[in-house]
Amino acid sequence: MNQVASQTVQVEVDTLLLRAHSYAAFIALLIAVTFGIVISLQLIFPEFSADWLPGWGRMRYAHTQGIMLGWLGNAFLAFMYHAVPVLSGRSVTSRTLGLWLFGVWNFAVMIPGWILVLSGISQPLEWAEFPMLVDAFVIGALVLAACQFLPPFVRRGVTNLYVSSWYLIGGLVFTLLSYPMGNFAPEFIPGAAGAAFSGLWIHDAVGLFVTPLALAILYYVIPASTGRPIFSHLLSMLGFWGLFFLYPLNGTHHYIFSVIPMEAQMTAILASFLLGIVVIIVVTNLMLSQRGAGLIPKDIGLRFVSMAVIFYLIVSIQGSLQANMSLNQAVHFTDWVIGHSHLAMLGFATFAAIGGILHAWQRMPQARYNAKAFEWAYWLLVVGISVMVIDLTLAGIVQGQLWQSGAPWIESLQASRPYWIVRSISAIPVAAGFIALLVGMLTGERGAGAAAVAANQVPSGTEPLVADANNSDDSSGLTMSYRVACAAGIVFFVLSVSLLGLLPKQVLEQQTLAMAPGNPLPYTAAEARGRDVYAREGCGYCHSQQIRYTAADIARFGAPTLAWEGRLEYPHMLGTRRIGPDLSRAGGTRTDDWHYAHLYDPRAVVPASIMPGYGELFDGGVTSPKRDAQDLVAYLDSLGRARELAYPEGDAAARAASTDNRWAQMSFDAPLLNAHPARTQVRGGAPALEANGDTALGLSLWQNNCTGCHGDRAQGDGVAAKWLEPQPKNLAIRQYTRGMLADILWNGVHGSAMPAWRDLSTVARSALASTVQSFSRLEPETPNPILSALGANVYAAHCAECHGDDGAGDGFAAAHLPIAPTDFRGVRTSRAERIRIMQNGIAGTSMAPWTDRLSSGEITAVAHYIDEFFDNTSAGIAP
Amino acid sequence: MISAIIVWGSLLAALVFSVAYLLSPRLRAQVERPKFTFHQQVQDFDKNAAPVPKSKRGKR
Repeated sequence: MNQVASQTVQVEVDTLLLRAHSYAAFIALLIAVTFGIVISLQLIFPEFSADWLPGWGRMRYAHTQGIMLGWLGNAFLAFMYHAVPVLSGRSVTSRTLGLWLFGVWNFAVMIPGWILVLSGISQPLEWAEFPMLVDAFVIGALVLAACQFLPPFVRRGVTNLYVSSWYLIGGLVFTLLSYPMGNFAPEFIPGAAGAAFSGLWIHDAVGLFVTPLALAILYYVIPASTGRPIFSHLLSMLGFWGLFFLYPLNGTHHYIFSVIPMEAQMTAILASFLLGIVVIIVVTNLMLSQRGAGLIPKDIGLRFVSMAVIFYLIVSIQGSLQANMSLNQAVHFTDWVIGHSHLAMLGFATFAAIGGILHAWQRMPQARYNAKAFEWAYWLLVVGISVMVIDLTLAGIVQGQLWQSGAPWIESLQASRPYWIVRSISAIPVAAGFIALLVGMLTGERGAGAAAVAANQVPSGTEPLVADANNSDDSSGLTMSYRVACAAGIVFFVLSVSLLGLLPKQVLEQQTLAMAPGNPLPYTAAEARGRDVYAREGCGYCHSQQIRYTAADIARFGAPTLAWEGRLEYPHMLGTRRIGPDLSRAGGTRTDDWHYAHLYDPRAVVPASIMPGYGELFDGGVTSPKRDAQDLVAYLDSLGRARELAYPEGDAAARAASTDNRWAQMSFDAPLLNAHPARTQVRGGAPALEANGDTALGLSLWQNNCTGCHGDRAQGDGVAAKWLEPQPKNLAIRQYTRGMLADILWNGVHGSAMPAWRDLSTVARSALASTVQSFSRLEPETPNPILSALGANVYAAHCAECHGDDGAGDGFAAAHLPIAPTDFRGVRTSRAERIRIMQNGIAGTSMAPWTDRLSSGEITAVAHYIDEFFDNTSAGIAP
Repeated sequence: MISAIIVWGSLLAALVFSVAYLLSPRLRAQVERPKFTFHQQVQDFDKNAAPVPKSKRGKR
């Protein structure tokens, strides 16, 4: 215990608990940062993994919760052990309670939370990743924290309460109120309605937990280090009430352009704008309070805090701008948001927390203190975090531009790579800075912090605004107004939950009732299990499941998501980031064998993919998927199914029920209703391709998109070829007409793993078609009229029912086959290959071996006859 | 509508409070007093809490 007589009251700072939480904070920070570094490296080197290493999504869960609860939670608790006795003039409740709080926070929340999420037991919700069991302990710990730190203020009373005290009280009370909302409500409220509560928590986690406690530190450390009072207590209190009134109203700005009612979105946008103004007031006050301390103060605690003020200004203005619909449309889901959250948590909050801990550390006589290490830490962190945030912001702009332009998704990944490399490099100084901090606290002379305080004391500046601090005017009116404001704060919180949570929930439930088709299909048992796999692996961190009401989203992913589509989503999977594409309508866009290959070895089918492989879902190979893999694929196949099946009757009814909802109407006016725009189609409708495509572009597209299946030399022998049925075509022994390639690239090969490439521009598809044509090594073959005549008879008897009389693949049975029969007008294979196909059939299609019904001679004759259908001058495509 | 009332209402309250602060020296003193009280508390704490180690005392 550090006992000091302050005024007439004995102040006791519990240095044991302060040290314990400080060390726990830094250990948690280093662990959380390690998770962050590993997952950032995996974006650059997707193969960087090991059997013992948990999956990417699981480490991402551990990263965010580690930073928020492990690092910042412990750091704030450490600071409170120093600040609360000084602010209140009274000791915290008890050491025993403190030991329980420390134990619960670290041994019932952090360690089990990490173990559980890394083992696959988690909650797929941003900033709420620990499972509900752990959430219960968090709430228990928050109650303990309230019991430990609030009674000193209660005993003291609110009269003349300093702004840091208000922030500490507010932070503890409102975190306790808002935590259950974000961590429990979405488990019981489905879809977008649950997301409305998630949005509230995402913002409240920052606005009502991190920001108040960080600001308490800023308002504490600045006057304590400069040696003079803050510039204006009025401005500080206006800021305090402004923040507590407006922050809770911001939450829905995380779901702008979603199905959440536009009234709630507009409220959040307005509140976000006003919050920016409040922050400017707060920051102005804080900066004016540092007058005389210099741009880079000598006192190390003040120096960190001073930087935190600058980060706070930037991150808040950035936040207000992001809520602007125009900017949001472009940068939402991009790395801009990741940069924003790193600036908030690693910039503003972390610098404040470090400043607070170092301020307290300096004042512990028995604590070791290494000034040089702290000095290094400061510069390493300033440089590292600044580079990281600038880099991610630029990456976000680039990604947003590419998404808006409709460029193929893979281009945004390739464009991001240099930025991700810089981000990972920037983590080196950041990690080194954190290690230097820990070194600074473990080395150096004991009690040297006190000398640093004495040496760096800023000389007192001008006279205070009100000279007599002990003027004992009756302040009961002011005290009453603060009490009213306290009550109003609670009322505002309740209102925010009502306006941005309960009201949207009611509206969305009404929409669901009005628009949902009768008896929509629920998930099967396998699909429901697959959804759990999707959740536990953190797939939602890269793949959103909400098609926003924006032109770019509709063009790329299809009709915007309606409220009823999330009626089974407990909790919702809307997501807040897109590294990979949205999966709302993923069902039917890929075959099961493609999914298995993609899950096992993503780069086998998408060479430029950065998705981590999930080999642990297989028993040694793609062809041996475990039940988890089968369930996951079943779930992916189910995405968008209900909406697709609602067409046309269900959609017509929903349209009629929403005539007064112009946003919902957008969902019915989408060009491709109820299916993914890139979904494979049977045939027809393809725009013509230019005659001579850019071969350099074509080759680049080929390497990025096609080699995994077709192989480098286009011989149908790519890495994934052996896992796919039907196998990818050997293009060297085939010749395609321009029209046929236009059709295949536009529509894909429906029923096979060959996807449609409609997201490529016509120029790109023309280039790709030219490249494909260049692979053909097929020589003209000598016709044999006699064999052809015989072949015509055999063909008419056995082949025409599927391939059609004129070889167009439109025989009377064609419509009933899962994969359309070959249109011989548009593609020619070598005669030997034709014979081989007729002898062996094509696995995975309806083309069976014919050796039991046709003689060798008949097969050869048909192979000759088919040659006559090929017409390189025609479109070669059935209408 | 309700949210607009809340947002603008809180701004109005802040404005009224600020005007009262500017017009009333007594309110001004009351509002600003906590920062001086805190300042005093911190100074008392710093004076008494952390003795400078022997090796550094000469520099103070």
